[in-house]
Amino acid sequence: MNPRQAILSVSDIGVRFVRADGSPVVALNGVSLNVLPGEFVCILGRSGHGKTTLLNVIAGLLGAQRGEVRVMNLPVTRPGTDRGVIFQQDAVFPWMRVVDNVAFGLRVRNVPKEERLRIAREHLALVSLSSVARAWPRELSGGMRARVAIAAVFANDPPILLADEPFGALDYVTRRQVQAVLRDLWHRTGKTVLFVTHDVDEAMMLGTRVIVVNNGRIAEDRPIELPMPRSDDDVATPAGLALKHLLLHHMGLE
Amino acid sequence: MNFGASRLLSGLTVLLALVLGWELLSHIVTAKGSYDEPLIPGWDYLIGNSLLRMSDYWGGGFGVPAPSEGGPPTYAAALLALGQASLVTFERVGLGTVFGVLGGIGLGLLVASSDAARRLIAPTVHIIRMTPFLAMIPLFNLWFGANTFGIILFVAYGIAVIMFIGTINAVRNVPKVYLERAATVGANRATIFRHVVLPAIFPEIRASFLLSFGLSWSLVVGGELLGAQSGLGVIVTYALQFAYTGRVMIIAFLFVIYAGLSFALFDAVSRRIIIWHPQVEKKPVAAQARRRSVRGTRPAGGISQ
Repeated sequence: MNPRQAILSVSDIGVRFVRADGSPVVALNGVSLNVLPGEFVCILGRSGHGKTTLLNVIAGLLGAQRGEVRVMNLPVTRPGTDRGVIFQQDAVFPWMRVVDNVAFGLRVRNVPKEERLRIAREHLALVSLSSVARAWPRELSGGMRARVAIAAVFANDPPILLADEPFGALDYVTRRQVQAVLRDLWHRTGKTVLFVTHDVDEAMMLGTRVIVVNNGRIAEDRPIELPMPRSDDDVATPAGLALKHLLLHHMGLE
Repeated sequence: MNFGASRLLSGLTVLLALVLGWELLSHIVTAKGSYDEPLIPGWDYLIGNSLLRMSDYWGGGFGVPAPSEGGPPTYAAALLALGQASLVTFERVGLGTVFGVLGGIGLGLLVASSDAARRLIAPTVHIIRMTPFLAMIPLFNLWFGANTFGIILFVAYGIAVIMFIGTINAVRNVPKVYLERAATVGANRATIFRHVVLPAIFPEIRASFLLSFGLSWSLVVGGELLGAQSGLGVIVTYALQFAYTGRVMIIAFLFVIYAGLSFALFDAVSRRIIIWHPQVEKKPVAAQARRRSVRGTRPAGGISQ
């Protein structure tokens, strides 16, 4: 792949932490990665193997000791509006009504009130939450709050979207529904997505490409050549099952 | 019978038991203090003597003659005297609390947001916070005089220390993910402070204020006990000199009522501001506002995925 075409390029990232007792932990060790515009990249791996660290470095929330992240050929040093983030924990502000939560990023950028409310309402409609625009977040279920988070990040219209196990706390059925919402929006907008997950099935359902992070290194990086939009039947084909076995193997199973 | 009515009934029962128990105690313990005042005055004494003699503190006016000018003690003069002293104390407790809250929160936010401010201010405040409040009264007396100004400052000082600690803790407890989310949509420090930190800390600051609510009243009495010329605390000081147990109790009742009313008022007003907070939901005030907030939409529970 030609790095010049990449919207996002990560080169030789190294991150070390120091434990409370003073012993060092290597979270990422020489991770390099180029992402093309429009890709849906799933970053797959077990807990504690560096997925979230990688995403935080790309988001600019965490500094790396070594290496460089470039977005559209500009080095990343801090968070920016070119990279929207859907967080692992619930980051919907409880003190703002749903519509104001979705409009928050636009408000930060001084978009006039009518304009930002119009955009926010449009995005709430896209995630089927128009009816609760004026509700408080505490009045919503976890699945609905996850959709608020999706609407909020798409309303800002960032070219790159970073998601850190955003649906990990949801039940299976709700998670499948919210996955479909995200996939449809990705399909509609053509944004570049990096999606961290520990769930092989989730990665195979969503991604056009999958990267396995194991022990702070990239253990596998390959396209998912299954039709899109994708159904359970597509994943349960011999090709799909073979890929699943390979991914699980790289994650350390068997 | 609904829940609210049964709660009211049990509350009234407890109150009645306390009133009767006190009366009973006054007949069992009949010991008297140094000026022939019963140590446990019964209700007839409290109302017929202690309350009536509050008119001693009435200086005249409104067509109600003062006993000090030769007139008989009257309930009108007694109530006017209590009202006048209350107003003086209200001014001190009110202004002192407002200044203390603003000062404490302001200083807390400054320390929480700036390393330089933390190094400069925090150690001093932590030393001050270890000093017992009442031990500082003589100092405030000497510095600012035993007047309204000095007492307001004293109340403000005590409240500010509490609010300072509360604010620092509240800022520290703001979930990191809220700050990160704001940063990733391009918010600068000022925006994060205004739209994330301030609303996020409000419930905890409110809680620490409610927890220390009686403190304002304690501080103002403490300030007035030593050398003030007016206010409810002065009545207590005189009553103490002549062992007027009954008068001390009447002022104590007043403080219970005032503190309770001011607590209820602040709770009701501040509850409306944190209508969004999950813990508010169960209270009736919040429930009404919640119904308003989603009017025209289906209730949240009824919306399917």
